[in-house]
Amino acid sequence: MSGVELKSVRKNYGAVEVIKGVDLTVRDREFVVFVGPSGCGKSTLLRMIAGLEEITVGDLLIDGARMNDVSPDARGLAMVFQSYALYPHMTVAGNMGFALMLAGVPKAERDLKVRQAAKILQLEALLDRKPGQLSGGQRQRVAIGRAIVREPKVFLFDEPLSNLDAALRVQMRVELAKLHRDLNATMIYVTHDQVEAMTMADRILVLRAGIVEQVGSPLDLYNKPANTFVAGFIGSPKMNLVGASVSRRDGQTFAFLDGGQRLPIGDVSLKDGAGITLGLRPEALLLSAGGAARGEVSVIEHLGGETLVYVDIGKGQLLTIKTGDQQPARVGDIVPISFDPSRLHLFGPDGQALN
Amino acid sequence: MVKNKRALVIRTVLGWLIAFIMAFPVFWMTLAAFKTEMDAYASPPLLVFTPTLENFAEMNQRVDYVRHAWNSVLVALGSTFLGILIAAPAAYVMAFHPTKRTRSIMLWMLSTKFMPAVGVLVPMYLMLVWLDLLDTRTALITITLLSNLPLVVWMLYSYFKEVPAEILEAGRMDGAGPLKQLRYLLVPLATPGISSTALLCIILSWNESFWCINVTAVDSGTLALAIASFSNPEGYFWAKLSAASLASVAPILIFGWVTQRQLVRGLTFGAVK
Repeated sequence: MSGVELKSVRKNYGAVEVIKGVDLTVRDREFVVFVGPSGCGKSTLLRMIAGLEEITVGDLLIDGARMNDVSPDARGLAMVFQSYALYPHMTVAGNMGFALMLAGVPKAERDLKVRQAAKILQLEALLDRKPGQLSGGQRQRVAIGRAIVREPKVFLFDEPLSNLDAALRVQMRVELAKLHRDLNATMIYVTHDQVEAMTMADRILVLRAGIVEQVGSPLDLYNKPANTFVAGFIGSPKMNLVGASVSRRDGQTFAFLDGGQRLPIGDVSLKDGAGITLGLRPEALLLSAGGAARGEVSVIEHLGGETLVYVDIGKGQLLTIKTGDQQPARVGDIVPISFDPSRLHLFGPDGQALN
Repeated sequence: MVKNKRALVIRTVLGWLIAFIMAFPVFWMTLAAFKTEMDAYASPPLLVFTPTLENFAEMNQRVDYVRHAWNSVLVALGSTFLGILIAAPAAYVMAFHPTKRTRSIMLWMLSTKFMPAVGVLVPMYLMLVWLDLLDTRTALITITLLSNLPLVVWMLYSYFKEVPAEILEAGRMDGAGPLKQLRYLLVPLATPGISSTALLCIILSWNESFWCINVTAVDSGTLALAIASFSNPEGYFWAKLSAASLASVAPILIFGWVTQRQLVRGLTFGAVK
């Protein structure tokens, strides 16, 4: 059992509050990703769990024991840093065995553990090299190896892939997911990249300005975003968010788009004229006749397997439409747009989800 | 091309000229050390003369060179070693755990160098009298150490700042407390900087003369005191003074020459990393 529990955790730097009360339970063997834009406090939150930042208010429990005042090394955690933070003057083996050396583990046992970890990460041939002689991906592996050797209760990752190039990042993402399965370990992972979050997490915590916006499985967040922020942050390309106001006529409820068009929506408990936001994923929109709205195609992006069509529906409001068709329209065409009503997201004036 | 060549010639000549002006006193001192007193006073000055070693022999008769040299070595090494021992933890804390007062403390430390040493001569002298430390190496090491300390802390601070904080944080996660971070991470990583600080400190201590002349005498005087004793009320003895100066400058000059690579590497450590 290696669970992590945060209870109303807050962090202040002087008068500035950067973490504004976070409650979270990370279960044993769970892979939880903290995601959010830069400056949202996700790294600070991770560093608070690691013990590198003090917790101003609230409790941190690891395996049920309060850890607020326990030193970082005694918390049973291992951390992989964004810059890898390898010890440049030590060999790969020295880096990986450093914690064990400090803990007084005999050399023979230390070497054995380092070799085992090196085997998992395919670093055996590099054990005598210094970090300066390694490529970015190899350094990243050493940083992970250093964490594995300690056999921690919980692994902490602080944007570990952001210094790698795109191809290597995808490869390491897959390797990390595999590592999580092989080691059966609890992992907490910080990233600003929602693709990493979606692909690796069991659960995602979306953070904005020190406040938890939503916690849930990747598909929960994708299918049922709690508010416009999560709706816009999760999913690529971004969800289309269109401002509108509620209007009822002949017993039916409509949304009047800011661009002047009218769409029927299901009943909502809001007064006529109330401002709402419609959310539609690019893949939920179709270019088909009999559509509820029309617009002019302003840009087309061909990605090969899919095509992104940007349609102006008035007042410069662009809708992104994703289609599998390679030639769905031409720039300048007026196209009808339709959507599956069950995939329409409605957000109230406060930005919170209505349905 | 021609223009470039002329610029090169001008630069070279200028460079040699400046080097000559800077090295001239040492050169002249070296010449004088091998002249007789008469030759040393000759006007116009002699460039060609019969060299003699009698100045060195006389100097050794008058002052105990070996003892003074030994004192110089002890004071230079002692104050440097202790200075770095004290400054390293201070610089570590200031570089990696600064508070809002760190900046002002550092400026205050540096400001102690603004005051001329003679300003505190009387109180220092009286304190040494009370502590019964006049003419002791302990006193000289302590004073030299304290007067170099601000510089040592500043230099180590700037070298430590070059070490990424995340490396020390990784060390903390691995179980290294402040002392182990210093020993296993910071000191090995800042070795070039620490060595050049030490070298500079040794040179400064070696050449320190004010306190040496004022608070030491026969027992603990360094080479600076030995030189000073050749300018006395009986008159100046150029040749002997030069011989004494040469004998005391030579060790540190050779030391500086041997270590200059290390010195330059350390002083430009951050810039060309």
